[in-house]
Amino acid sequence: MIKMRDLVLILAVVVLAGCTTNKSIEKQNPAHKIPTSTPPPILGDTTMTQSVPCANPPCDSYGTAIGSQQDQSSSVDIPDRQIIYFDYDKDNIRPKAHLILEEHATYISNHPNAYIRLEGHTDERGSREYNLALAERRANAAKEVLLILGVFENQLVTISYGEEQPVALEHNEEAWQLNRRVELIYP
Amino acid sequence: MRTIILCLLSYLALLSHAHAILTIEIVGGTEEGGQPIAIVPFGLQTTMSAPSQDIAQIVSDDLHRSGRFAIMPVHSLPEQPSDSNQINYSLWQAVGMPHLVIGRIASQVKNSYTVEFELFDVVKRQAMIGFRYTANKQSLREAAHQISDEIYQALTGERGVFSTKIVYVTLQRQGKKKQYHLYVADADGANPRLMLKTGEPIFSPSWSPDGQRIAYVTYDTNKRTKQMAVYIQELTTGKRTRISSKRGLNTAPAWSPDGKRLALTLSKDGNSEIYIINLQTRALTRLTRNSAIDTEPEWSPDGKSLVFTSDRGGQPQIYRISVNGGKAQRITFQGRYNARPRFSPDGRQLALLHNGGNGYQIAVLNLENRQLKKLSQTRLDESPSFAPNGSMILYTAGPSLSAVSIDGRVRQRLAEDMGGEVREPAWSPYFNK
Repeated sequence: MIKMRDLVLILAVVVLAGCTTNKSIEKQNPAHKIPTSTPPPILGDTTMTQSVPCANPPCDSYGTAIGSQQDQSSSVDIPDRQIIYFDYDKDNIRPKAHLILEEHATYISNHPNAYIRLEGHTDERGSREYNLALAERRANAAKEVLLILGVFENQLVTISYGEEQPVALEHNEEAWQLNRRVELIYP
Repeated sequence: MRTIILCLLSYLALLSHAHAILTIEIVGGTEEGGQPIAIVPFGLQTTMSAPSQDIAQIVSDDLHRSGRFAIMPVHSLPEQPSDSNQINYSLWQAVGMPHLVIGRIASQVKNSYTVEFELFDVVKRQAMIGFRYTANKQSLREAAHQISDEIYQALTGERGVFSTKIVYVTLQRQGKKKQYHLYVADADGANPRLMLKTGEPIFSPSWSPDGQRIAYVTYDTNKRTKQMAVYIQELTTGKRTRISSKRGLNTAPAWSPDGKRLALTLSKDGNSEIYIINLQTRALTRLTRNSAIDTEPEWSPDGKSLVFTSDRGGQPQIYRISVNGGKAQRITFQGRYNARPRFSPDGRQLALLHNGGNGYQIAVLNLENRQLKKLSQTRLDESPSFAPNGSMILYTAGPSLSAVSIDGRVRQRLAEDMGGEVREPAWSPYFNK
């Protein structure tokens, strides 16, 4: 199930990405506050593969977020961005997704009683069983990054939903990109 | 004449009427090339009221859907005899009709029917076959399917599949809430019987070779998380047994031809691999060792090897491995995506999900000459399943099911009448071999 926060994020992403095809989502303009940091356009993400994570805040919004969270660790909220996205039939972590995972690693490391459920998803294309395996690989890829970033394994669980829980029901590239994802859920 | 008493299976009595049923619509193909046949509405004993099932209509629908027959419309029938001595053969010869089916229904006792039919060769002016059935209200439809099977076999030389069943999963969305159902129904979608209702997804229903049990995947839920699990459920009693709920994936159960083992995909050792579980001892044998995705196992009909999907070459393709393990051989080379293989009953062909650059479609790979033939035309197809006589393939096409004859000539769409999605069909084996 998708939380309102996630929906807001997706909305923001869709709007900012300038996608005009996703009308059913755009119409539901939320009354809620859009996250202050600017989410990147998802579809342009593949062009970011050469960018290097910024070490020196405030050169981009993620760097700022990480730095500020480390300073006020115990009081800071669960990171806003709780979804990372993937390429078609791939499980490698995009640079942007890595930054989001870093935010969560920081948060969870400072909240030893919390845990994250990593829910892997694919788009609707292809075989249902293969997609269950692919979605699990995506969840495991996110888990591996979090482990490398110092998160304890007992704070992480993974589950695969394959193509079973799309957030966008259209049958086009924009919807498929929104659905190829791992959600970081704090149960 | 031979008399066949229909055994009324115990679960037929438990049928519920409230369930969504599949409606069948012929969406493509042509009757040209099909054998012409006339099926005359069955005569009724004078004193009885019409039974709830129109036998001749059910038989006509069955034969039509098989793609092998061209059924003469009722309004074109030159006469409507119900007994052999009423047949005027020259009328049928005049319209070029080679085969004629007539029949009659009698009822001496309440809720008990005697159904007789005969198939005639018009040119030779003689009966080819004729049988009598005893049925009640609930089994009349089954009697009609058995008549279809007899006619199909007499005229094509192959066994019919009209008395077989299908299993499938439906999904109803009510706002954010989702409801999954696992159904078993007649091959024509009639008589759906609910096997499982749950808010969690249901995947990969698969028939045991004797048609008495179904394996499938769903999620067990507990407080902290959800865990995928493989279950086996008995058709007659509804009793279900958890077979596997290891950490990670528990998917794609596939029965061995002897029904004693189940191949499945587990990721308990860190990566999705194919294992074989002995259903008696529960002993687990690992079959694949590769860092890529290995899943969707399917046994060859001789039980000596399995085929499966792997992306070890960079894209999903089909591989074959001995049941004893060892090196896997790649067997698909055409197209960038080949997955979810299913053997034809004779083991000579594989139905699979294929993408050659034009969307995800159902294709059949001839294992002898390696020729690949696409059978579906839509772009988001899934889950092919052979009919037990190899004549048709049932698959998922978007929110509904489709069936296509193996020659691609006849297509039909099976949609759920209550507007839900229907998916992951599996055609049953024959119930009596």
